[in-house]
Amino acid sequence: MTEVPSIASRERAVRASAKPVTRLNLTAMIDVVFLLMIYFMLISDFSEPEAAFELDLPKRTTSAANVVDPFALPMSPITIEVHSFGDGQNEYVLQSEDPDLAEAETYESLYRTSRDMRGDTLPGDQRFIIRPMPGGRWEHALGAFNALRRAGFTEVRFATPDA
Amino acid sequence: MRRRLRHADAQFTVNMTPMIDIVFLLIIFFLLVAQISRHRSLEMELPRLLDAVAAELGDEAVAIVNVVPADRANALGGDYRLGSDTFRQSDDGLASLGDTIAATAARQPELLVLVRAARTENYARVYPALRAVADAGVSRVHLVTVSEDDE
Repeated sequence: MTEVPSIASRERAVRASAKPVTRLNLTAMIDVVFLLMIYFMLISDFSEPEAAFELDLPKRTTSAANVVDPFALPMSPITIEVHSFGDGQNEYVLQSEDPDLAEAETYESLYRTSRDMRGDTLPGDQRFIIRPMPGGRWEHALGAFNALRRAGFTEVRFATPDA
Repeated sequence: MRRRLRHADAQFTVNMTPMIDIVFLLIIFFLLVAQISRHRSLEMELPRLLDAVAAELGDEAVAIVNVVPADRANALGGDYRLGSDTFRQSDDGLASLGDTIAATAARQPELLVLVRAARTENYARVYPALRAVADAGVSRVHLVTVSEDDE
């Protein structure tokens, strides 16, 4: 006659035969991961996408007999003067000696007027010179440049600043 | 009594899996968007233009000439910066800038030069950089800006 094992002894036998439970301690990894996350959050710099205007300068010839100044313009160009009177985006006035562009004092009016004149009173390859007056801001000079480029004129250059 | 004992024996375990998932996603995101300073672009407020016809910059070979803001020129050691080199706004400094650009252009014939200047920069400080690029024989010059459409 065989002896029937009690329930308690059967549970002990099952527990003894079971494999040990392997547990992964994630604490150290989480510490490192948090440090990495804080590091990248601090050094990240969400910079604005930049764009650029094309300003193709004429290639300078190396021949001594034919040295040309890349900023010299052979045709009679129209000069757009840029007067800045502050750092603000709208703190500027444009002026031109050309009677048709005399009223164009802002980028928008310069754009509209020159666009309407293009192919009519102005040739498509009309040359322009942007001449910022002393103290002229770079943004205002670029604004005038952009207005003429928007109007379709590609021959737009910057003048030597007045001393 | 029996009920209280059962309550004390209960183990509360926090399931960390979703948190770790999210943390890893955040790390991957920041790894991808993080830009470690390349020491070639100077932090400055660029001209901001409405309806700019400027084109977005590509990945082609470029040399970036930064016009260092006047109030930082002494701290950074020069008025113009190309890579990690700085140049003064003097005849010698500008000639040196032109020579450096010319040497770079000799190695890379299709070199594109970007000129970066702050929006409030005096034009008289930007022009010498344009002139130095032209004197170096580089004809591909781009003027860097940000478009207001990007906002």
